[in-house]
Amino acid sequence: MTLTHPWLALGVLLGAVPVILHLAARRRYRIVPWAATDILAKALENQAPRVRRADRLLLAVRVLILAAAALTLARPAMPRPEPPAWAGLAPPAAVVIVDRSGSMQTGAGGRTRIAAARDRARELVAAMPAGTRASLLGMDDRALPLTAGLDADRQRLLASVDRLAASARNTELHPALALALRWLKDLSAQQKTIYLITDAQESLFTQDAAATRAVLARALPEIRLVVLPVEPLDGPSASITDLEIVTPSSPTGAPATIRVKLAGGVIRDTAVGVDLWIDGRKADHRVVKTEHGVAACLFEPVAAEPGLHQAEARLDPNAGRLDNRRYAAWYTPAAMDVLIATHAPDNSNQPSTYVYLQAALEALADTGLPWVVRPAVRPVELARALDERVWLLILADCGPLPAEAVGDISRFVERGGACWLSGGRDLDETLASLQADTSSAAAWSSVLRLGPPDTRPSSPAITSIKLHRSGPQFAGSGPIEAGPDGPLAALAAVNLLEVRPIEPATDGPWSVALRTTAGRALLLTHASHRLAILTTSLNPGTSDWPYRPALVCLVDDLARWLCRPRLVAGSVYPGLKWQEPPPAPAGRYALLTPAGQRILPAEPADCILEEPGIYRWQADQSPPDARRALTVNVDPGECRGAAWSPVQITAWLPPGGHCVIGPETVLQRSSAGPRTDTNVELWPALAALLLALLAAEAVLAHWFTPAPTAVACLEVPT
Amino acid sequence: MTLGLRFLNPETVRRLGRLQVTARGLVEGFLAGLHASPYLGASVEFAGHRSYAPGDEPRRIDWKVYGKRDRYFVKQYREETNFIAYLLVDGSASMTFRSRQTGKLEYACMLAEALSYLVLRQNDAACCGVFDCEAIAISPVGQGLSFLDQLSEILAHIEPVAGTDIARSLRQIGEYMPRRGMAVVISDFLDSAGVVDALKLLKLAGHEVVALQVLDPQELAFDISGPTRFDGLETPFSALIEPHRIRRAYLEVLHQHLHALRIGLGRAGIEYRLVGTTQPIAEMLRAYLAVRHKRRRTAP
Repeated sequence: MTLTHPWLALGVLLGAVPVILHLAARRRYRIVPWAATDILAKALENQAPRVRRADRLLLAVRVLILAAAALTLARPAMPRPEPPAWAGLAPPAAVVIVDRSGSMQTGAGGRTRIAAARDRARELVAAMPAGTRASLLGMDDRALPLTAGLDADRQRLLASVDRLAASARNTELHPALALALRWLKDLSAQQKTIYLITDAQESLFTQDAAATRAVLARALPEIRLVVLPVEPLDGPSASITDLEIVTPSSPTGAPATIRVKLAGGVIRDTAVGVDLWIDGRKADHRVVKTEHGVAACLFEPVAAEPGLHQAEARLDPNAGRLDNRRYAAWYTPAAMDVLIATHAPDNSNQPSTYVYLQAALEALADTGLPWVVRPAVRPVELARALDERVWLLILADCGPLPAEAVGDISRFVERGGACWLSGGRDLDETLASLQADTSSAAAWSSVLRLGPPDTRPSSPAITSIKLHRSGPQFAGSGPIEAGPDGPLAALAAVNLLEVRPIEPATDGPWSVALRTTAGRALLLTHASHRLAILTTSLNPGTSDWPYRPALVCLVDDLARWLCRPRLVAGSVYPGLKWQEPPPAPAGRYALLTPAGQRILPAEPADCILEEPGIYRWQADQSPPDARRALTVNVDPGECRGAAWSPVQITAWLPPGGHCVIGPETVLQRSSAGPRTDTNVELWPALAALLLALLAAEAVLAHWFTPAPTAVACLEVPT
Repeated sequence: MTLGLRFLNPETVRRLGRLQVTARGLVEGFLAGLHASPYLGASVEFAGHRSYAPGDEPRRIDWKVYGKRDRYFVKQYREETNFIAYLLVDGSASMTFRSRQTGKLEYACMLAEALSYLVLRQNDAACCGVFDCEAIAISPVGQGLSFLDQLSEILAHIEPVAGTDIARSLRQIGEYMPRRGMAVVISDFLDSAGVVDALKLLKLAGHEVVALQVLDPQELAFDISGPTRFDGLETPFSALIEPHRIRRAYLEVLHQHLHALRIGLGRAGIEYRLVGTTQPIAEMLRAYLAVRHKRRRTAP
């Protein structure tokens, strides 16, 4: 129960006032010597018990009146019973497949895996939302239904769990999967899930894997597959949860350290092979031993040459696993110099592009990478300044470049340097200079220009550019048809983007990330370069565009894009693809167990929505049995302004570790719509009670305390 | 002449006027007076005939009867004599209760003094006794208004003590009442035990007994407000109560008590009168004696 005005609830203490007054009144009395004591004693004997009862009753009523008044003013409310996430829809359906193969007869500590599987199944059934239709299916090399189809009776399901016993047969997944899918296929349900409780022997996924994949390909993603392993497991099943550049190298060139974190509730004291790939080549291999379901390994040094490198962690493909996710991050073993070439004097009175660039580049400090911004040079000085430590070259308001500078820039790009072209109308002249160098013309195949319309050249619109989008931010995939009516043109119509070709339209492996909701920035990357080529109008004198914030945003996006560990590819199960989450409102969310209990304590340990679709749970307090698979929900009550169904997450939770709830998170809008009133107000009921108490008090007081005139005196005869 | 009144003021005495206290029954006196004597004597009230005996006055022979019976019969007449009014005042502690200017004991003394005045003024004799748990004072029988001072002296020196045993004390006082007369017992009669029996003893001794119950108005109305601790005047009783909460029950019990007293005394042929201390003495006696006189005239 919650109180709208909690401090008013202190008024409940006023309930003590009648008691205090009563006691105080009893302490102040007068003494009357009385003659008719026999009569008084008889009257008391007749009346005292009734009077005492009446007194106590009246006192209690008066105390209740004050307490009820205080509580009414405090406006208590009770949380409205949470409707199930599938309210208004068909209830969820689930099939629990329990591995009963021969390996389940084994165990440790006198407890077999089949016993653990039964416990897991019981927990699962108990945690299912009310109304869930579920079925239990035994699995070895064939499917053994333990229930007659889907049943919403939880007791019958639990009874069937007790009948579960291990066999001496092999494991084949696809017969049970096929039966489960057949049950679920034509069923109308809000959510269809197959839970697989298994000891995850390697043969489970290797035996007839093609048939299994085929079955799953038909069913997914309509039907969710959740694997719940039983313990102890001795199979090398793990997943990479994070890749972190621990110690970015200093400007002196110290090597970086890369930490790869693994988690697996299914792992116990098992060795897992981890490969580190640098720039697409396998660079290192480590075998790490997990302990209590979590492990980490460090790689160092991984690359000595300067420049930006991509590190990627993969599990050893030769080991059986449930997860083939790969994480990657950019790193550099040495300082990365940023060189700005501009014609604009940096000491003029007018704010120049250079001044704003200098300010915007401060955002690079947030990347954690060793950026060093050198003093600006003029284009003619590029030959001397563009050494091998320069990684990012910004050509700002340069206009036509000298021929020797073009050559230097071309060589710089060929060795992997990134070039950022910035400017207004003189940008065309800069580009023309660069394209004049035939040796590097291919690098300048296409240019996207950002900026207001006043800088838009009158060149023809681009007809076709294939943009391959990546990252969890995108709602779909496939090429964007740019043109007068395409999405890029739509962006241009709101003064955010202009697209024009330098050469006739060519295809290129572009990657585009629309990062900001205000649409002020666009980041364009090219596969042949490691960094985007950005063009934008940086001339504040000719634009009312929010120039400086946009520039800072650009650089900030650039830095974050570079340094964020990303899920490169992979899924929990080979062949499965993640359902990308829709954008979620930023905010703070609470993680709940299926039973509705909060996993984490209150702030600041709550789950923080770091960016759309990515929830990071960093908690020292793990659930009591952290090695168990845990399904967590986002508390719908915490999502202000939007109604969300529970987040369906299954994560292996290591004790003391962390779990990134990201790409595997599925957020679905509830059909129930936004909830406007989450509490049931209790004050009307309390007000009614108060009125009733007042009426009772009046009646009782009149009844028990007659007016002096109500009793006739004895008349003395005259 | 100084009357020696200590409780009555002249105005009250003036208002008593020519009231007369007469005995309803037979009383023994030593002077011819207003009241019927158990002895037959010279009077105008014919009592009956008896056979002539030597020594009788021949003028008392009823010759009409002689003519019919041929025997001498003498006419007898009821002798009228003076009477003794025994004024017995309860001097126990319960009589000290007062809620107004006049307390019960003071009122009882005024009542006794007024009755004494009336009795002595009509040449009857009076005797005054004070009792609580026993007889504590009793005056000699006296006559004439000059004796009033002696009676008032006894009343003025009552020192109330806790406890009332009206039966015992009246039994003791009865021993000092050799002649039949009129016994007026003035008390609050709150001691319910043996009151009627004690008064019956006086009645059986041949006295005309009048019970005057003096109560304070607050005892009758119980109109006390606010938390009050009642401490017993004669008993160790103590109770902290809100009087208005039990007023109804108190009045019910009081009513039962008074009713039982009235019924018991009535059955014993004892005259009973409830008196409030706020009633003016003169008016109260005027009304009471008028009723009493009326009864006497209508009695067979």
